[in-house]
Amino acid sequence: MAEERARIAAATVALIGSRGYRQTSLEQILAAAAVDEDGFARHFASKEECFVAVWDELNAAYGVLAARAFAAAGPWRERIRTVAWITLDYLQADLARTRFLVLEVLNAGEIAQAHRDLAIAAEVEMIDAGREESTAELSRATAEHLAGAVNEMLIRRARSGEIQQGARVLRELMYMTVRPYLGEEAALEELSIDPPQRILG
Amino acid sequence: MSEPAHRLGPFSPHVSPEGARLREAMIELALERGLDGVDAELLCARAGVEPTAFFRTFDGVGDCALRVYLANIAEFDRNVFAAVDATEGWPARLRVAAYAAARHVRDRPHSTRFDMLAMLTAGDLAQAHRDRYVRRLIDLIDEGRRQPGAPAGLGRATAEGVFGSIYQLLARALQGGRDLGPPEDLVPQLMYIAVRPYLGEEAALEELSIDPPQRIPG
Repeated sequence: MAEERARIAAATVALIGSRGYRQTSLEQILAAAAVDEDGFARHFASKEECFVAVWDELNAAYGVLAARAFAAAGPWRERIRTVAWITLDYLQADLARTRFLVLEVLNAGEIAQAHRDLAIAAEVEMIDAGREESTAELSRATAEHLAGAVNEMLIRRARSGEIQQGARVLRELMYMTVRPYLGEEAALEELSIDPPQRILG
Repeated sequence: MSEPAHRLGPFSPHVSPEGARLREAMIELALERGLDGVDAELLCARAGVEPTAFFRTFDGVGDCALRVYLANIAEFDRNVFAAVDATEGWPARLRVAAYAAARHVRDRPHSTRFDMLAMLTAGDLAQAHRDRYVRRLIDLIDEGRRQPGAPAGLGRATAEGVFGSIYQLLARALQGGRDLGPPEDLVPQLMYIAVRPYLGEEAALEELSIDPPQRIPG
């Protein structure tokens, strides 16, 4: 049973991540996973339910990595930078998975959108922790704006395939993220900081 | 000023009153039910259009929604970039674009909600068109990189990020059913977000107290 479910999940990510949600039929997923309709129905009620369940699993797997990095000791700026590099590393590792996670969730219906909103709320929490180390008078809205910036960049880079050249982009995002909380000098430093060795090494 | 008929196609009231009613009905229904909850029968009934006439012009609801969206963004594009093209210098060009956009949004709250929320789930073709007009807005923000004193290490991603911040602010307000408020209150906040990465905190703070243009050029 678990092996059957895993085959469906893998086929869902590979097909939707390469062809798109609307362009992928349930029949194509069944064929790629080598399961029949009864087999699929043992796990999921519909293509949409399958998408949301698999999206949640992938997002949770990424979320564990990000949360672990963010929970480590150290200044907020270093922790958020480590999360940023982990995110880039995760997205660069599998482009079909990236398109599935970042782009196709926009096409997969309102429930998928609601799950994406929850994931973004988690990003907002991490960014908003910058206020604890800031002398500026900022509200949570700053973190919401910055999460919007991160997601727009991810969507555009995932669509163009440029996520593979993401190091420079990531430094710019760190510049934008750090600037409201820690000021211009700290932000400018971010434009020349290399990835932490423990992430990419 | 209304959009030239050739650009709005079937949605120009000059070409077809039925087209104008369909556009209005499409927007209303998509906001009430979501795009997936709209079918041709319902749409035609709301617009007072015969289904046979509808299918002579459109392949279906998806096609109609996409063409409403295209008509909306053509109007937006024209209003905003006519103002930009008639203005010199940055951030003045960006500021005038922001006021033109904010006034466009204020005057068309339903079609703005349709464009920003309902069309998010409308598929690849709608996304491709969204990308095209978003690219022009990002180009405009990205002019900030060429300003004296802008940090040397910035690339286009900063402009994409600024756009994302602004989009997030507007989408959250619209999702929450909130009024965006008068342009004179909204635009200085958006300009603060846009100017800060390029010209620094001081210039960004100045944006909070710059009066709106007396008239939008273009």
